[in-house]
Amino acid sequence: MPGSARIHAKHHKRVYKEHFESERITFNIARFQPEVQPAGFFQSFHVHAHSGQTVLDCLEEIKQGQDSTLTFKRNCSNGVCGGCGMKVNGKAWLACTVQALEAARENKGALSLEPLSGRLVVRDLAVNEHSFMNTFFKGVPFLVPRKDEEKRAHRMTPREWKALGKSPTCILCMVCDSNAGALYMEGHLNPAAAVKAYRYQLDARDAGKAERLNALAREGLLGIEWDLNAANSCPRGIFPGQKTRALQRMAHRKGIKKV
Amino acid sequence: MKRHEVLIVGAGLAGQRAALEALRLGAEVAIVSKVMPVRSHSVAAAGGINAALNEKDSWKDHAYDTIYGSDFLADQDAVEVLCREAKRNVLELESLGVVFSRNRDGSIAQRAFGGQRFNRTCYAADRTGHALLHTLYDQLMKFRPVIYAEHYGLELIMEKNACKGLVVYDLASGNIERIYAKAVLLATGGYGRAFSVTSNGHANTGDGLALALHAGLPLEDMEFVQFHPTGIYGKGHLVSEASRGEGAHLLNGKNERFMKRYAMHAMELASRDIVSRAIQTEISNGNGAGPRKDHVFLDLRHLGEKKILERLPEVRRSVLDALGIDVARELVPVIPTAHYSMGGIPTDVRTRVVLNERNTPVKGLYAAGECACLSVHGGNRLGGNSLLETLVFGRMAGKEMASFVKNQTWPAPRAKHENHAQKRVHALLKGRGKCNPYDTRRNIQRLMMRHCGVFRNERGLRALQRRLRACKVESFKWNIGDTSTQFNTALAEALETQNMLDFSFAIVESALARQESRGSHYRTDFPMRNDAIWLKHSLAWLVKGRIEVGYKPVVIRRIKPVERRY
Repeated sequence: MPGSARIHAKHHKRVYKEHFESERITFNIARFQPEVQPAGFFQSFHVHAHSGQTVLDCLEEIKQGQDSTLTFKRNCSNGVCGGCGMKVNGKAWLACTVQALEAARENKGALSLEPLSGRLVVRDLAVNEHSFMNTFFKGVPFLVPRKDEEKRAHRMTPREWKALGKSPTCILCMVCDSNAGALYMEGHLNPAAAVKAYRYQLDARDAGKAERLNALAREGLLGIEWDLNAANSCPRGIFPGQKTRALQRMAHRKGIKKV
Repeated sequence: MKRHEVLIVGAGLAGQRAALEALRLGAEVAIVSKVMPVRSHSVAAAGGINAALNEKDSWKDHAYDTIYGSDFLADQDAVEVLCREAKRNVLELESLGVVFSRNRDGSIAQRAFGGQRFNRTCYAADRTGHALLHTLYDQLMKFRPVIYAEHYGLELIMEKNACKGLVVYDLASGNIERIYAKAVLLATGGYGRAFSVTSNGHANTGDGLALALHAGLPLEDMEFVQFHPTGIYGKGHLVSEASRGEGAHLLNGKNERFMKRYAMHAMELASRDIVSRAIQTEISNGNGAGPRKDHVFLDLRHLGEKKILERLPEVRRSVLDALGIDVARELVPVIPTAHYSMGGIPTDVRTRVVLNERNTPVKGLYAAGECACLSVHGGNRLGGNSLLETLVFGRMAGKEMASFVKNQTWPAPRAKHENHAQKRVHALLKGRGKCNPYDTRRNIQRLMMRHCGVFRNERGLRALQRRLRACKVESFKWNIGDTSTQFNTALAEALETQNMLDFSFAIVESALARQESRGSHYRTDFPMRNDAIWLKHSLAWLVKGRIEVGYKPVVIRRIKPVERRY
């Protein structure tokens, strides 16, 4: 069949391993080995990467074949668990969704990998996520059920559903947090916490809106010191900076003052 | 030394659901997880969750489909609980804030899924697991349970058939600690990573199964490993069954919809074992696609971009990330990929772990989710039933544990409890042999995929057994190359590989013993199902370094076994 033959030829180039382009790329990886050397340093590794191979795949290859002390976090390798956030060529992203060859070409055949900024580095590319996760505790980051829930019979109109947009798809990967570029202390509002609050603020089933806005104001919603525009870079396309602004507008409308 | 009333191992859906229930009932709860809580692999579940919500549907039909799909190996009392409780659990999660996709009238939308005669799979686009897990996590944080994130379970603390806690390895500090508890729940998920082509995350290494096996407990029905028909070629990542539920077709190298030869009526929506076997058969008959003829295609082009963007956005994104292919315009190359373990730690219908054929429960030890075997999935699981299982039996485990711990005394702490775990870790850290643990791991994965995959036979399984033994010998000569006490992931992965090796023996021995083909277990040398001899669950114990296999009967209530056709 000529039709299918054409399709196969097209795939041939892109998908099949024997036709993969392969290139030697250099990884300049920020190392921090507290037990060996108290100061951080950069170390270079070389990998023959083929197209289709992600940065995370290359890191696995280095760890398994060259240096098993190289430390990083990951789980799903498919862009949904949010575990492998790191800075690739200076910009935070998920390592499992960055194509190694493409990223290297944009940077003269070399890739620099650093841990996310703003958080304590545990070892090499792994950061301490506890302070990030703990910021969610104070701002009512959960749905407060409405009293008329029974009457609603678990319904949600398509319009109410659409209003939520992409904000419920946040994976807490800390990319926005790192790109926004500020040092946080535990209990301060970060962009991902704002996205979470925004998602419940727009949920028609929620009855805790006023309470949540006040809690957000107490945590510094109106005096944010990180870069709202930089916070918009998000692997899920949520635009956390915009959502934070929207929350600020909601607070203004309700007459909530800076605390 | 630490102590908590209820200790939950694993922070996926089953673990978090159990934690929420136990906390609501007033118990004091701690969670141990080897990754951060929202990183658990439940987050990657895509397709949906089954529940008979529609008036025209009934939980009895759902139960029938489940038992039929299991090739009649499911315990029917457990399936009844699963399907009867489904509606309540799904609606409860909805009112906690899960953003399910909707019909026009605002009710929860349901789509078609493989092996079911009614559209009863509720979904949140194609990220249902993500929606459920994040909502549960938010609700759980209200109670602020103690979470030991990035802690590895090393060994269960057992005393006279009662579980008293867990010895853990803290990745951040390198300390080995004892956590005592009145009740322990194992909710550690599956072991897809024991295979080279898998849809599972890096963390799915079956550690909970190894915990049970090392504590002298059996593992049930380990030969039943589900291969999902549509994994991305060359990667193994999942293309959700939702795509076929929404109408995608499978095409072979000759551009024909080959499923008509294997399941005339259900076509692509036959149960997963049948579709996976069909794909593998096409490939071995030379009908595969590509220069090596080693895969088939999934065709979503006729669905249209609008429907794909609305209902399958994650499928589109993940295929684009992995291969650079837009599913709305091009064919997706797919192969069967190791996806789910039907077998696991045997439990009774109240989620209590049992230790023998007579279903004697272990005091204070529970299991739920993929690591448990109730068995609701029997020989083959239907898509959409695993998320349901985590909610229904996670909730039940939470309730059971909360009432169990009320009149229990605290276990007596003894330093000797951690001796064995200490030795295990020190041996790995001090090992200076010539073998690399990653080579061993890759070997196990390749061997398991080759000899214990969709099709199996005695010769292959025997070869696998021999070569796994060689891997075991290798594992005593490891040099992990990292002696650090801080965040030593090389050590953690070596521990995982040890676990993987031990339960792989259980899989192989159970598969060798079962001389029939049922559900996902297909023996080319015994291609027929044989109810007269094999309508029973296998149990595998680790006794003095060898696997011993025993059996227990299947619970059959109303539905009598018949031949399975789709």
